[in-house]
Amino acid sequence: MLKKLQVSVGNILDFPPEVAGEGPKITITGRRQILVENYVSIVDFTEEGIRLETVEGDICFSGKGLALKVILSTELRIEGELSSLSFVRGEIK
Amino acid sequence: MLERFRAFWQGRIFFMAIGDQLASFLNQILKDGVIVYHTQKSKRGMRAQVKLADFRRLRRAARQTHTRVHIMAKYGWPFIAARWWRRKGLLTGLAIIALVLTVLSQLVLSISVTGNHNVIAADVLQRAEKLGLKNWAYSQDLNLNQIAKALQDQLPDAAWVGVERNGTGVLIKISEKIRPTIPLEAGNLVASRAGIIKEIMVIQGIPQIHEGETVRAGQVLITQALNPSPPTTTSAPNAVPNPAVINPKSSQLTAPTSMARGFVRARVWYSAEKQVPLVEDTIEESGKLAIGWGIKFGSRVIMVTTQDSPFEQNNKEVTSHSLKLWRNWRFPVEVIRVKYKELHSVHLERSIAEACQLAEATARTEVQQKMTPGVLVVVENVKTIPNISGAERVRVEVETFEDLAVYANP
Repeated sequence: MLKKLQVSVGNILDFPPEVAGEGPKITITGRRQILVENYVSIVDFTEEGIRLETVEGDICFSGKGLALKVILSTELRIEGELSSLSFVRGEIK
Repeated sequence: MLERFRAFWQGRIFFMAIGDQLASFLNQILKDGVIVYHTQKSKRGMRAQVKLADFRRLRRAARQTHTRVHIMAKYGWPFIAARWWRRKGLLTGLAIIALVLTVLSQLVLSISVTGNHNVIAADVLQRAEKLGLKNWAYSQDLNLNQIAKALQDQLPDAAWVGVERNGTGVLIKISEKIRPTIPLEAGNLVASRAGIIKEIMVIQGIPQIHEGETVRAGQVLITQALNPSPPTTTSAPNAVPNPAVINPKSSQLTAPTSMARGFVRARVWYSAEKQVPLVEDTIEESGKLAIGWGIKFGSRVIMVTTQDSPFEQNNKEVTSHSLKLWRNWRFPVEVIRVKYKELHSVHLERSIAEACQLAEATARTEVQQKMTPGVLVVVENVKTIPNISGAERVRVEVETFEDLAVYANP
């Protein structure tokens, strides 16, 4: 109920979706730099793939030489050669 | 750049985390508010960097997730500072060196004198020392301009004195006065030309030659007399001042001297030879003229009238007229006037008599130019030199009787 209200107010006030909702914001610059905001936790990470948990399901980044350059509690920056991005499980809220 | 500086300033610890629950470890330390940098997973475990201040906060997460943390490297200023702090002796030494260098750089450690030839450097240094410019003096206390001015006043042979400080060295630059030099033979009478002496009349001085002697040009004839009679009122108007009195280099005064006076008459010979061909082709000016006007801009010339010379052979004479605007500023465009003088070939055929006459006249003119004007000519010989085919060669020899004595270096 509160979530719906939050989204409705956000829509009325023309807030950007990442402000109104809790879903992740993913910014990809070229193929080498990814910025993920509003993630919940790191599920798994290797040089070939990184899996993050968000409120809208897990996000899988796969590629080569992936590294977590900066990790903060709400955002993280990934660098490496990105080949694919996919969502696993979860539902759109 | 700023990020790297911040990392250096805060200090970073490069660590390796080994365990089965690395993702949980990472999530746990993030919950504890630790920022993790450059995290990368390898076969052995996970490499990452944290700030020095955050490193202690990894302990709880490591314990909970059974992860072992190994420090691989330490980077940044806190570690360097700690290392230096352990070497207090080195730090003290560095501080002392810096202090000593700072103090020494404020002192005058060397003074040198340049540009002096006659002024003695030791004397300059001694005078400078009295004015406060000496080794180990505090350079900020020295008024170099005042010292330079005082030195200039104290040194009569210095036209200018400059004192310049370069770090701990002080350079005293001296520009000396150029005094007029008195020639060694001043006051002596010397021979103006080579000749054979016939008469000597010494009014004042000591004769250095005798009658019948052959003298060279420049040879001393009469030297100035030493210890002459007391000065009379009818002294020579062009008398040279006593060199002993005005010569600054002479350390002690010598006996007063006076100029040599007298006449030395001698036989002097002059000669000239000239050769004139019997047949000659020459180029002479015909007398015809053509004038052209043009404009000159830099090195470029544009002729307005008479662009090319109307004559086959010519002498070109260019006169430039430029407008002077102010001081040495000139208008860049100049007006030029070109005068073309026609030249033509002349074929001359002379008889032997004509050639001889011409050669003699030319040779005589040359001799007269060499001779002292108004001199008495005793003998004149004209000799025709034989055995020259196609030309006549004439030698003119003149013997004169004249006074050779002149003052040296007039």
